[in-house]
This record gives sequence, C-alpha cells and structure tokens, in this order.
Amino acid sequence: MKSYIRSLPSAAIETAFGIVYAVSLLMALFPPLYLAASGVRASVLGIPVAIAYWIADAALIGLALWAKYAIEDVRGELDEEFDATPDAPVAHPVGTSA
Amino acid sequence: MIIMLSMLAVFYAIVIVILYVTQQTSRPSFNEYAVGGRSYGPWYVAMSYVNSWWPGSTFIAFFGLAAGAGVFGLYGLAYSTLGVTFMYLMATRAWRWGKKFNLRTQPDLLGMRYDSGAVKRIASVIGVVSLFPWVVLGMQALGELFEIASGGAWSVTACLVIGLAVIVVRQFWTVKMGMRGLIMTDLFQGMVAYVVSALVCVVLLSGVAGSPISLGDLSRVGDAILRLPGDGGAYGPWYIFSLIFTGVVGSLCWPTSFQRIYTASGVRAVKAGTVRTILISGGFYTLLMLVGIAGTRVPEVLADPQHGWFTLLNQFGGTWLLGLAVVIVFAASMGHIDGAVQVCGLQIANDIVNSGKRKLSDHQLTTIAKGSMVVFMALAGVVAYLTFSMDRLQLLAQISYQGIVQLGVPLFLGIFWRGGNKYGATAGMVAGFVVAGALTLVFPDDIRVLGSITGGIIGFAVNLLVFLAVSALTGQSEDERKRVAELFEAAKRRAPATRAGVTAATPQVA
Repeated sequence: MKSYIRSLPSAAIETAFGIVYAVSLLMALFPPLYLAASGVRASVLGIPVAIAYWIADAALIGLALWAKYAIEDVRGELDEEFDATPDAPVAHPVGTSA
Repeated sequence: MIIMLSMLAVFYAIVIVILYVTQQTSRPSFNEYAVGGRSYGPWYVAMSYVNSWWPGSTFIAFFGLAAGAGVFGLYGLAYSTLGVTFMYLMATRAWRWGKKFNLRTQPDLLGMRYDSGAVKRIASVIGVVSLFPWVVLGMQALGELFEIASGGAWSVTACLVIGLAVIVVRQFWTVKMGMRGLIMTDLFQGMVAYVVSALVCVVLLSGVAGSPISLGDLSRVGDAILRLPGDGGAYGPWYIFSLIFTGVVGSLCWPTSFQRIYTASGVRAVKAGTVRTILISGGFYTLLMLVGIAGTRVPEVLADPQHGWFTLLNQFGGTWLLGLAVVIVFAASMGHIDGAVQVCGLQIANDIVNSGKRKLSDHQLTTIAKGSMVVFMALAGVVAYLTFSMDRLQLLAQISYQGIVQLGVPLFLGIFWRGGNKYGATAGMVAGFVVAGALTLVFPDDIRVLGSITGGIIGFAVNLLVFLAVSALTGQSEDERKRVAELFEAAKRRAPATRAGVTAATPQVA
C-alpha cells in the first residue's frame, strides 16, 4: 500500500483532494444546495437532515485533510532540510520601501 | 457564589502556576516573545490555534444563535473547517518564508512578498482593527461570567473591571515570557475549554442522570429551528453564503491564527497541528451546537438563548456544574483575549512603529508592544462596557469579518501567485476596506436588495478587481520579477537525505 501511495503522481493526489474540497465548498456556499437541506426533518442516525448536512460537510473535508496528511507522511513530504539560519538578522531578501 | 468563585480561583491559580513553572530565567529576545523560537510541536500548535479560534463568546453569542435560531449556528462549523483546511494549504509556504526570512507576523510576510512597508502597515492596521471587536466580545464574556459567578450580586461595572483586572494580571506573564507563556497555558486552557466542554456536551446529549436534553430532542425541535436564514423569512438566499465565504477567507487572515504557523517547529508540525485543530474544533463546535439546538426544547433556554449554556448546566447539575460552565467559558475567553492582545501589541510595535527608516531595538520593540497592549485593552474595556447590553453580540463578530477578509486578496494571491505588485496590493486593500466599512455602516447585517449579501463580499470583490487592475497597469519590473522568483524558489522543499527510500521519489517539491 505504501509503495503504491509513493508511486502516485502528485497531480493525481492534488486533483482528488481538490475535488473533495470543491464539493465541500459548494455544499457550504451554493444556496440551492444548502437551502435544499434547510428545514428537512427526515433523519440520519436520529439527526434531522437539516443538521446532518452541515456535519457531513465538515466531516467530509476533515477526513479528506487527514487522508492528505497521511499520504504526504507516507511519501516523505512533511520533513525537509531547510537552508536557513534560525533567527537570521536579515528580515527581507531586499529592503522594504513604500 | 463562593463555590463558583472558588472554582474560578483554582483554575486561575493553575494557569499562573503553569506560567511560573515554565518561565525562562533569562529575558526572552523579541523573536522568543513573538514566535516562541519556532520550536513547538503539533499539539501545542493545535491547542493554541483552537484557543485563538473559539473565544469565550462562542458559549454565549454562538450558542445563543443555536439555542435561539437553531441550525443557523452551524454556519460556524462550515467556515471553520473549510477555513482551517485553507490554512493547511497555505501554511507550507508561509512557514518556510517565515523561517527563511525571520518573519514574525502576518503583515511581515505581506511586506516581504510585495517589498513594501506600506502594504505591511496597512495589513497590520486592518488586522488590529478587525481583532478589536473580538477582544470586546471576550471582555463582555468575562464580565458576564463574573455576573453569573457572583449570583448577580456584583454590578455590571464591577464585573467588567474584575474581568479586566484578571486579564491584566495574566498579560503581565505574557509580556514577561513572550509567546512561550501563551503556548504553555493554551494547552491547559484549551483542554478545559474545548475538550472538557465537549465531554459535558456528550453527557448532556446522552440524556442520562436527569439531563434536561437528549439527542432525541433534535428530532422534536420546531420547524423554524431547522430552517436557515434565506429559507423564507426576511433574509435572502445569499446570507449564509456571505457569512461562510467571509468566514473561510477571513480565517486565512486572522493575525492570531497566522501567528501560530510561525510558532511551529516545522512544516510537519504546522500540518499535523492543522489536522488536530480540525478534529478538536470540529468535534467541540458540533457538539456545542447540537446541545444548543436541543436546548430550544427547554423553555428557559428559548426565553434567553445567550445564557442557554449556563441555564442547561445549572438545571443539570446545580451550582457545581454551573461553576464548571463558568470555568469553561473563562478558559476560552482568557486564551482568546490573551492571544489577540499579544498579537495586536506585537503588530503595532513590529509592523506599524518599526520601519526600515526607524529600526527599533529588541528592548524598544518590547516596550512599545507592552504599551500598545495596555492602550488596546483599555479601549476594548470601554467599548465592552458601552455595548454590554447589545442584543446580538455575534453581529460584532460578523462586522469584523467584513474588514479582515480584505487581507485575503493580497495574502492568498501573494502566496500562490507570482503576479501582482505593491501598488495593486495597497490600492486593493484600502479600496476593499473602505467599501466594506462604508457598506457595513449603512447595512450592518446584510444588503437585502442584493439577496442579503454582506458589505464584506462587495468590498472583497472591489479589492480583487482593484488589485488586478492596478497591478496590470503598473506592471512588474524585471528586478521585481526576479526577486519574486527567488522568493518562490526559496520556499521549495528539499527532502532530507536521511529518509532513504522516500526521498528518491520526491527529490524536490514546490
């Protein structure tokens, strides 16, 4: 499984995550979708759809982010060598000016 | 009264003991004060992040929204999870630039990206102004807590003054220890405010031991409780969109949240911290809203939704549980106010007073930051007193989002896109903030003729258009293009040589 994850192209992972994120954003931002769930009393696991809709939206993106983190961990994309001196005196690469 | 005040005193004493035990013997440098030496792991980052995200007013204003208007309160769940996710995506480059160029604040990053002191100062002013209402809300929450804890025996003025005094004493330690003090106590405060409260909500919803509510109540709430604003009623269909959009974009922009990126020990700590943040934040807020919505079945809660959290716990467990409710809100308020005051003082000193022409020493920066904090807190205290009986406290928070969201255009485009320049960023932010401010003054809540869209959205659109138009008209010089290219090159990841078998597959990832 780990070798399969490592062999996946970055673009495929980013696209999959992007689709899930777009769906979550649409659920939260597109009035026809959230208004369709508004006021619906039918229940999912004892919770009315009007409420479950928002929990599902949050759970969807939360799980997707957790999966993205786990995949990045397997692919070794979370650790790095960093070419920087801690608390370097140089604030900016070039001087700031208005 | 004695029981509740004692519980508050015990909690406060533990916070002070933590500060005392974890203090450093040497005087911290300004970098230690600002970002804690960029040394903290994911749990510290997460709890600090959550503390900066959910203030004590969550248990009053946002709980009141759920207990008074029902499912409406869940908009906070959507924008917080989607917004924190955006932070995950942005955090990598933000942290790398922070480390590489010794950035201490969010305006520092903007100033560096656009090579402009003006961009830095404007971003800082917008951040400080927009955080102000949240500090006011936090102080009001503290005042309300002491009103409850005193059984109504103390006056409003006395309660606010005591709340302010508590924060001032707490701030003394923050100033002395720097960011380290915040991070250390955020862990404890966060456990009490969000983990303990989530457990309390689970017990309440389970309906055991005489709980006044249960999960089953969610199926029996009134029809109006399940309807969103915009689904009938006075609000238009774009109201929820506006609140969530400004929430998501605004979440990229809060200086308090952004500051947590710079406290992390590395990209792994930032990302792991963000995942933990969603778990804690989403779990806690979902449970709190479910309790609020179920609480609409309790007549006393429905009659006074903003005090619903206290009413329910008092009904459930009497004085002791009411005392716990007060301690929970106290923990959330203290963590949030402290973080907001610290970052505002820091930004005023580091980004507004300090400049390329007027370089301040570590000592001067710390002194100015301290003075700024005192003035900031005093102003917030006055406003908190004057607006203490305002009906819809949460409206103040909404208004502040209209302002902070204006940082989103230069911040987001600056991190992910090499185009744009300082003229576009400056003009866009100013235009967006002025438009959002003017519209919010005329339409404090929403603009009905535009389907209940809010002033912040219009301001954001103006901001984006001005940014793109002015940047296109003024263009980028060859030197500027080269400088920005070097910035993006500097933020590229270099995989460590020590993780054999992993690094070969991903030698260099932008």
